[in-house]
Amino acid sequence: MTKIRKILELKNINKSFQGLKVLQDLNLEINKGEIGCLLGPSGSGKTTLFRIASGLEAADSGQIIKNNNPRFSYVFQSPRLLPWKTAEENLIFVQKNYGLEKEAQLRDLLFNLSGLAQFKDAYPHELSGGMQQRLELIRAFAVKPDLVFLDEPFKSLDMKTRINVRKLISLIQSESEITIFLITHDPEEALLLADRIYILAAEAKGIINEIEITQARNNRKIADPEIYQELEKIMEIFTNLVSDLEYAAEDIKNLF
Amino acid sequence: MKNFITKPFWVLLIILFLIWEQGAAGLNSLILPSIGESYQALKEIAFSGILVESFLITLRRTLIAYGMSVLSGIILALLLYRFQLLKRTFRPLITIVQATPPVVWVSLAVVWFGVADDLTPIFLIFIVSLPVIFVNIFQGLEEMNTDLIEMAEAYSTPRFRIVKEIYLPSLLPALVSALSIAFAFAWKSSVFAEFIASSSGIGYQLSRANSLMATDRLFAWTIVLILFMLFVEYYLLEKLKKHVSRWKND
Amino acid sequence: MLKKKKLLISILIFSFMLIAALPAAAVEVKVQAPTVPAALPFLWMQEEAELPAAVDLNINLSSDHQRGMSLLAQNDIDFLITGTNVGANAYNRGINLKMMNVNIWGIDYLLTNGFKAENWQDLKGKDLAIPLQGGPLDFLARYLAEKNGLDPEKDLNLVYRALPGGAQLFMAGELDAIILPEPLVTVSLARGASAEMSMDIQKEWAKIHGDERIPFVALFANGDFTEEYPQFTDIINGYYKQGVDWVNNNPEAAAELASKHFNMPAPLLKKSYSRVNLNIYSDSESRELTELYFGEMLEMYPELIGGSLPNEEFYY
Repeated sequence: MTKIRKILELKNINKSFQGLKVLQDLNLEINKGEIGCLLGPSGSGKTTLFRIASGLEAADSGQIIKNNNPRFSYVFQSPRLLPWKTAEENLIFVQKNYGLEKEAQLRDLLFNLSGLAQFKDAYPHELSGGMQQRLELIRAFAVKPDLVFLDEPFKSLDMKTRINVRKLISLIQSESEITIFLITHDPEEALLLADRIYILAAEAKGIINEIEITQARNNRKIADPEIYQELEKIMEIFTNLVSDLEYAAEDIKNLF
Repeated sequence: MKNFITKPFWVLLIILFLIWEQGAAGLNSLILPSIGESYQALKEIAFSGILVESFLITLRRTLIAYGMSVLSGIILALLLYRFQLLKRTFRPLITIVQATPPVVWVSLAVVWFGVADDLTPIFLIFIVSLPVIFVNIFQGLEEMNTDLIEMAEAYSTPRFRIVKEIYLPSLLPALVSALSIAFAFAWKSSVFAEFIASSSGIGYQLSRANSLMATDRLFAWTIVLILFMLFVEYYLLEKLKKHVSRWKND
Repeated sequence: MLKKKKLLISILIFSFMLIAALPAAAVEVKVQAPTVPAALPFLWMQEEAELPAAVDLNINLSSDHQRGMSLLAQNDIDFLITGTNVGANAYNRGINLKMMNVNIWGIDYLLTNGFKAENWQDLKGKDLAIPLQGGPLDFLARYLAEKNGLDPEKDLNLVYRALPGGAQLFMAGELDAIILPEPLVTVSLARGASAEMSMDIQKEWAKIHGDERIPFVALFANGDFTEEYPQFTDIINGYYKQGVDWVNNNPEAAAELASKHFNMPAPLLKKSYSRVNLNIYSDSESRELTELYFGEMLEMYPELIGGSLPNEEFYY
């Protein structure tokens, strides 16, 4: 059995915003070489947790343990590309921070994989939303990271692009052993891409469940019974989180 | 120049010239000199050398004061953006300076600087241009996209590179816009101050033409002023603007 | 019976109204003059002399020559006292006016601050203030400077400051030199701590032309006025000459009158008159001297006179 090594560990994380407690005594482990996923509805605190884990924000209390000083990179929810630089220059911009600006071959590979090879010299405003997001994605890989954080990367993408991006992430990950950690509110995305899913709920101010998916990623379909079963489980969890509204049936009848 | 001077404008210009010529035919040279008379006066001032001489004097003063105001405006904007206390203390003062009519500044300058020929125009230009530069740059700073900076910081970008590759390009459009507006102010203020308080420069020549009732000369100098302004605005600055905006969404 | 009476009364009232509404036979004569001795004959006319009832004199004391000329051009005033060349320049540029007489032939002096200029070379590199841009002193300063070996644009810093502002600056010690007319000369010498009388402009002119008389200031009349009211024009002209005589023969009274209107102490004003030549010479003499002066101006600074000698119609 291959030893599972932790690349990042969060212990007893607490965070409040303006008096409201968002995360309470939260524990999370990200394993090296995995695609981890944080699944939760809006307002569950997943963005906060994400920002704390990735170092963009500080927790009120708790520990963050990094193994071997890993290099982080990021894919933000909406593309944060420098508008005055071309697509390739945007990649070079971050590569320079790690002395990788000469890695033209790597850039070419990434451009080819993402279908953006013809747009290396285009400015971001010349690219469509989906293309910008793909550029955002390959930029994250261009720095040869140890751990890539993705914040709802599929949010604004159409179905075709989603499939494309999913395949891309999956492929790069399996061939390179880069750790991926993404957050999403879409259970389907989580099930199709992740090796391990952490379910987050605002009511619990923390992680209420952890699911491991063992099927090979390139073969997964929602229709697969195992996958579908997990989906049902997740849906049930969420349904239980939502309070019963039946008590108001009478009022609704009367008022409307 | 192509992008600005389009056909409709030329047509309008010709119509205006016709109106001018028609009007001047009926009135004497004192009230409205004809195009020919103005051109004649223009030739005179060009050949006598006074055109170039006065132009260079005015230009010199304008550039000195303009340069000072650009530098100070940028520094002031950076300081007030960085230090909240300074911002709260000085921001209203800048508004007050901006609200004071230029004619008040000239009058004060005349009293303070007496007969110093250069100081009054330089002072006026500086005081009028500084707020313009400041406001534009300050606004550019406030509108800066902090997301991009967060991204750069997350990717471990060193501070100086963030300044060089994010702050600077981000502020460039605001800066160019500021430079453009401020220059127009500077040039006009220069002439205005010279008109009232100097014994050299284009403004002084205007004042002289005025007191000698040489309206044709007045027109000639005005043409010089306008042509120069057009040149700067639509040739120099336009080029700069284009260069800076090439990455922008049109 | 009542009806007839009413009719009569209304006719009477109506006639009264008609008579009252009739334009007065009196003519309003509007004059603008700066606060120089040349204004005194008009002030004398208004206060001491007995003008015909038909003349209603309205005097405005102002040193704004620009405005004065534009008012004259627009028929808003009828008479203007200003520099001879200012009038000639306006005439050459199409303004309809006539020069009635030249009245001030000597009034200007060059004062310096803290040093005495023995000659024009002593003024090299200094500020020299002149009260009216494009006026007689603008010409004389440049003319005399050039004739004495200086380049007025380069060797002098010519500064234009309207009176009395320029005089005040000088008295405060802010200017190196200034050419002033009386009575400001006397006032500045009295009040300026380091003011010195350096040159008599009239004498400087005489050094070149032999005659001290410079046709500085003249009385100009609106051309339309002279055409419409030739008799009144003659009347005013005549009274003006009388006024000049009165001033010269009654310096005390003239100083009192001036003091009242110019806001300066009478003894100072009286003293200043010793340095002023207010006189009206014969038409031919006057004309000759004026044309000499204009001629020199034409040669050196034609723009100060409008580019050419004014023709016959200029002179009254």
